[in-house]
Amino acid sequence: MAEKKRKKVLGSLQPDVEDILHWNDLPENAFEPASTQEKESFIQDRKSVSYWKDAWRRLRHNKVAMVAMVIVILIGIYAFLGPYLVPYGYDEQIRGANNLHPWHYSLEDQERINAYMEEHNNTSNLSPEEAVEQAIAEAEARGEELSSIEIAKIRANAKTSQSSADTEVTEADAIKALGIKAKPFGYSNDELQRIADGESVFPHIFGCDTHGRDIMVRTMIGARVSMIVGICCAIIVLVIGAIYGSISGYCGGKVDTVMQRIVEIIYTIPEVLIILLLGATLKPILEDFQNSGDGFLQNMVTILGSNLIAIFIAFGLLYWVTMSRIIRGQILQLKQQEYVTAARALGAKGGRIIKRHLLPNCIGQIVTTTFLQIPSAIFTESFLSFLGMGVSAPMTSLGSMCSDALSGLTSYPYRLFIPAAILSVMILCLNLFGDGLRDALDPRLKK
Amino acid sequence: MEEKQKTGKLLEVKDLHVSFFTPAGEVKAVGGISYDLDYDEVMGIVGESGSGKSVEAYSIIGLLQSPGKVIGGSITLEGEDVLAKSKEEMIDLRGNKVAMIFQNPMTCLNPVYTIGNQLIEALKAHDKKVSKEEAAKRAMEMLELVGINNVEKRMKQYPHELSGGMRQRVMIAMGLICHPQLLIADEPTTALDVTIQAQILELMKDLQKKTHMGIIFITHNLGVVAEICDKVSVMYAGKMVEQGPVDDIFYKPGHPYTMGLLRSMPRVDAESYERLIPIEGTPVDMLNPPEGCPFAPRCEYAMKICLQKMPPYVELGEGHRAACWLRVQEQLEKEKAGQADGKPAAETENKEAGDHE
Amino acid sequence: MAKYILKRVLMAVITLFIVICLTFFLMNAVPGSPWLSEKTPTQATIDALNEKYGLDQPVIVQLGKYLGNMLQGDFGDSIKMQKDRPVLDIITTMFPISAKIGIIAIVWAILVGVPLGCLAAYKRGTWVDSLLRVICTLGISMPGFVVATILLYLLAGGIEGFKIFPTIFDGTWQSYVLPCAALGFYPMCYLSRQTRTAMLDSINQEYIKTARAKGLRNRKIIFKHALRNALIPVITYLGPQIAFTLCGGFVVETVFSIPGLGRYFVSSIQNRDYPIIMGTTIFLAAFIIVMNLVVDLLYKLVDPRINLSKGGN
Repeated sequence: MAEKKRKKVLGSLQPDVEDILHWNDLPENAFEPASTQEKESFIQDRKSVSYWKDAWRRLRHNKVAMVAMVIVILIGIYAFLGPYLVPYGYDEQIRGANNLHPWHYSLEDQERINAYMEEHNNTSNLSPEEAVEQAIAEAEARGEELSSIEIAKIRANAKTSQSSADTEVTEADAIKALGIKAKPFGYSNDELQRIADGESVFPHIFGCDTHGRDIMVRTMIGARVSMIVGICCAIIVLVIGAIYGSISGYCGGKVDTVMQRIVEIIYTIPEVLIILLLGATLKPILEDFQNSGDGFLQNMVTILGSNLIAIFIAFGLLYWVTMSRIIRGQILQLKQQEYVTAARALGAKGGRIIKRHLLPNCIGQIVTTTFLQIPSAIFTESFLSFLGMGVSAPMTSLGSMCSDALSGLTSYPYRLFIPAAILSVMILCLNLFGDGLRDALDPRLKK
Repeated sequence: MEEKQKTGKLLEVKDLHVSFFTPAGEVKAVGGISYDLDYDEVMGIVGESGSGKSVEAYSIIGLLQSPGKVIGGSITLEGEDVLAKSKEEMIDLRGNKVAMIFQNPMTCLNPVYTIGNQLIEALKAHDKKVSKEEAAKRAMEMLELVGINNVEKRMKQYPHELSGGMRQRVMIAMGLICHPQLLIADEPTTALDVTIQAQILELMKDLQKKTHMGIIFITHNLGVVAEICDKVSVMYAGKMVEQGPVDDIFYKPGHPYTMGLLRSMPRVDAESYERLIPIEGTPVDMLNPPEGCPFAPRCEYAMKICLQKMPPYVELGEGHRAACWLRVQEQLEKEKAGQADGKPAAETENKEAGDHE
Repeated sequence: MAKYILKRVLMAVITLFIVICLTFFLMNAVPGSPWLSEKTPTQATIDALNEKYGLDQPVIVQLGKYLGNMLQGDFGDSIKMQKDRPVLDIITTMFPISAKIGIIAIVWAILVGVPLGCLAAYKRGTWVDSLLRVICTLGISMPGFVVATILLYLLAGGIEGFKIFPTIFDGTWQSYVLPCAALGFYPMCYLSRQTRTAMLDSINQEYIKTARAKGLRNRKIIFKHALRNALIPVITYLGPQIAFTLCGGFVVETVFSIPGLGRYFVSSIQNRDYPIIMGTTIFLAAFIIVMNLVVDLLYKLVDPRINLSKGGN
């Protein structure tokens, strides 16, 4: 009974029944001691990967982040190389290209449309002024002069015929009736003529604005401004935040208390208001400064424009608080750990400890926070530009393009939606990539 | 007590396999462990961090989080197959028949609800009909039972207003409020001060005597095991390397890992020159578990066979078994000697029976 | 508790004082006088004007005077846009419209964003979660004017024969719909994301494990144990969001031509009407600072862990 039970228990417990079955097949030297070498080779250690390699591996597996990165790179190429490929300047006003749509009708089609419209609308279908002009021209051709009564009559006629919309044929109707299809990209009639003459003309892919400026080039320059603003702000935030945070965290005690009070105060200052205020007031101040001389700084101001400088100053004054808090928190946490104590015991100086021991340990969070400043800065910049407080004309940015296009929203929606789309996609992809970066660099945060 | 009269095993775990399916591959956290537990019995599960002891306990109570999954074996609680139960049935089981208390009483109580609220909630989860006053009364009785004074005041307090030991008492009260058959204690004393530890152990021993429930006591502290357990299972890298009554484990350890654990434990009666001997090396990578005995690389007695094959269990005494080639070797030698004497030992017979199957 | 409130109020007052000083000195640093852009006034006129508005005195005196006046509710008079009309009067007539839109926007953002965040956390890993994540990330990536113009174009006449809401703000309830929707979209997405993160954070806490071990139902675990803990950090995001919504109002009011304080503020900047700029900045800053203070105190009240008598964090 006991025997049987034990056997059953044994059977169920055995991890490898076969082992027992071939009890006597054990190799000759089975019970010899194993050498250290054998023991070492036994453990199939996973290759130890460096932090960055590991992070890169995680990032690469994050499809969303990778797609976002590719799009960001594409937008970067678009913004920085694009303007060299398009033969138009961002402030170049192309004659005859005013209000160009991003599509065009060939010259023949245009003639057909006009012919159709003329055919179906009698002349009186012209606007009153046009009708009057036409009548005057006709009269002049006949060598007569129209009296004001006649002009009034013609005008009234034109008005009545125009108000009877049923009989009117618009351009859109004509296009529909003729079955003409619009061809992609905008060309002015001038340019179409030149193409007909055998010249090759670069198209206005996104059309042109009221002043005949190529929208594509302008979006390229706008995206470039946005990216530069984003990166500069991120660097400013990083530098100020890191220095402030590490000093505050490392020194501790009274210094920390005072510095944290300052942070708390800055934290509650409404940034957007201050940026608007700065934008409003710095402009005349900087203009004054600009005219004061021809030094390096003055030139810098000229290049950047006062509003951009206002944005940078605002970021430098206000936006670093989050960064400094993160770094301070990290440093407080790391400060407790033994290796810092060890470094101190060995006589390392404060600055060296911060640089060599503390910062490398919070690098993941620093990189992520810095990176996520870029979309946030672009966001703020576009907001200011939209309110007319961004880069100064003729320089452009995506926000100010949207602002310019707002008045013609119903007739030319693409003028607003193209830069808006580029802007949104850019911020979206930067955000997505930033999220991916955070997951990759700080696996502890990953849920 | 009625529970005492119940026959059969309270809990039987057979050849349990639990894996975590991570992006990097399958991690076999538990690779085939078996044990059983009687009513009124305390079993200790000992092992270092990551040896799979908590995972094993979580699968009993159905708390395994994805990507963890039970992939083989069976768990039988009072004759019922736990793994076959539906989600709803598991919810009814948890806290009612089986209760669990956790390592860190600081984080295990919800900080935004009062002690009373959380206790009553535990009761109400399984007894819908109980009135508020009744529930509060029982909760207070429970708190008194676990040695908390001034219960009326405590009921209205938030967890952060109590000390660590007090909170662990609350956790225990919460676990016992529905009178479970089985209590799983996952390192309940690890996060506490030594003096508080002793108090909590004393309390659990006391309560066990009063309620006659079965307890699975998970710990990495052999001292705690000696204090409270009737039998012990030693786990290493997801495998149960040794199992037996608490005295056998302490006085006749059969596996080098158990020996290592014992040697690394401080003892009051040790001679002054005796030093604690740590177990060298680190545990194996559970992502690529080796073929042979997982402890082999750290084992001072490792043999060639250890690196090639997982050893089978060898019976060392009543309810005491170990999985080690050293013991197999001993058995084989005994067998040879027995054959020479013409008096085969019981163990050898058994082996031969296995051989001929 | 009283000590903590006192401390916070003191901090708020200091912050406000700094904002006022900053505003004041920036205004004073502006070269040239506001009169120059008018039809070249004579020196005598300028002097007279300077004297009238107190611009001939030292800066510190001017600041002191300004502060003193402000305490009596006198923010000065407009010097350009609505000449000689008191700034406070302008603010009090225009702010209610902005506030109304802002409040509706933030309320719908909370009422929709927080449950959506919970839903995403509850259904984490499913398509619901992914969809919500895409929408919310898109939402925090689109500047306010993009959302506003898209809504304006799609629902207010951009597409022929499809005009549900009026283009011009006329005070009817229909004309409130689009501005409030546009203004609340960002905070909604932001709160939803934060709620999701907080919920997941909370779900991974050990007390959730305890709750499960107790045999509680899933719904009770999520909505009793996880949500209450998750909402506490979410409250802290409300303060900045209120500020953000208020400033987002500048854009939305511009797009929808709403005669609110935001649009007026923007045009006052463009017109360099300094008393209005200062008055509005200080007023809005004070509003935001007070809201932050309220949210902060609310946070301390909701979380039982924080013992207010000991003075906060």
